[in-house]
Amino acid sequence: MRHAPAIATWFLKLFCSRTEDESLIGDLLEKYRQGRGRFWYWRQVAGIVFLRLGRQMRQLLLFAAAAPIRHAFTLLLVIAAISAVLMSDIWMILLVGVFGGVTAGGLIFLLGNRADESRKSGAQVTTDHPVSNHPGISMHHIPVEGAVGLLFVFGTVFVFVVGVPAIREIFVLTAPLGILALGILLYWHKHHSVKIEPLDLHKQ
Amino acid sequence: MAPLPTLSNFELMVMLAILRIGDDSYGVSISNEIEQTTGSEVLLGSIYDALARLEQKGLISSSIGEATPERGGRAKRHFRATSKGIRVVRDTQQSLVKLWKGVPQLKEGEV
Repeated sequence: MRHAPAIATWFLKLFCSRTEDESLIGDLLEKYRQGRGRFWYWRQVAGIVFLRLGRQMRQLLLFAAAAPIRHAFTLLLVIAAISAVLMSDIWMILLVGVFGGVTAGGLIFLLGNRADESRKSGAQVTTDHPVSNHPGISMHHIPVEGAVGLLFVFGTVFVFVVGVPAIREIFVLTAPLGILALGILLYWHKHHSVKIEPLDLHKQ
Repeated sequence: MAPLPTLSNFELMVMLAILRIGDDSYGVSISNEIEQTTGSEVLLGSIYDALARLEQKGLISSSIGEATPERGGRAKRHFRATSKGIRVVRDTQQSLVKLWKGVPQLKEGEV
């Protein structure tokens, strides 16, 4: 029995992987074994591949045209952000930021889970409202005060000063202003102290 | 009542091939029928595209047949025209015959 060209068949299977395509591949093989040449087989496979690609392109264009405008806007923003990052020198910062963010998120998640487990194993605590135990990370759980807050500020400044040389001059000008503003705020807080209450999102 | 779907030239050829062949209508027999009638080679891929469109319009139905060794153990897919498909072909034929009747250039001995 004649064997069909292997590379052409590989291409065919690449584009015709659905179960309903089995009959098409079978028909092609049957006609080839009836006495058609290798060139005929290649031509048929090329035709099928082009037809499939054309159909997929049409479907993609229809999907893109039917997508809500907000998705198009989001897509535009993502493309702009990726292009800006790739074309500038700040991709290193992004890398550090993403790595740092993922590491910090993972640590917070792990620590949160451990705290939940120890709470579950200990005495039952009654609360006025049901506590939702979700695994996500919310902004109000990220500590940005005390030593951690200071580290956060220094880290951010360090990343931008190292990564974006153009802002070094601006930093030299703005840093003293920031320190001055900090002194004024500390002085104001010392003489006009207010009681800071923890944020309770469940309070009606 | 919904209007009947229209057929492209190639879809009409595929429909007529299915009607001419009868029960043994599948990819190879349909392509052979068209090639013998028109004298030109057709792509199996374009026949399957037309068959998918016709099935979507409800003009043909398909069923999985037997697998044979010369097909690499792959099953045949048999096609048959539905009553709606036959009605559409008849309507198309009547429309085309009406159009042909009024064309003086197509009369015998004119060209």
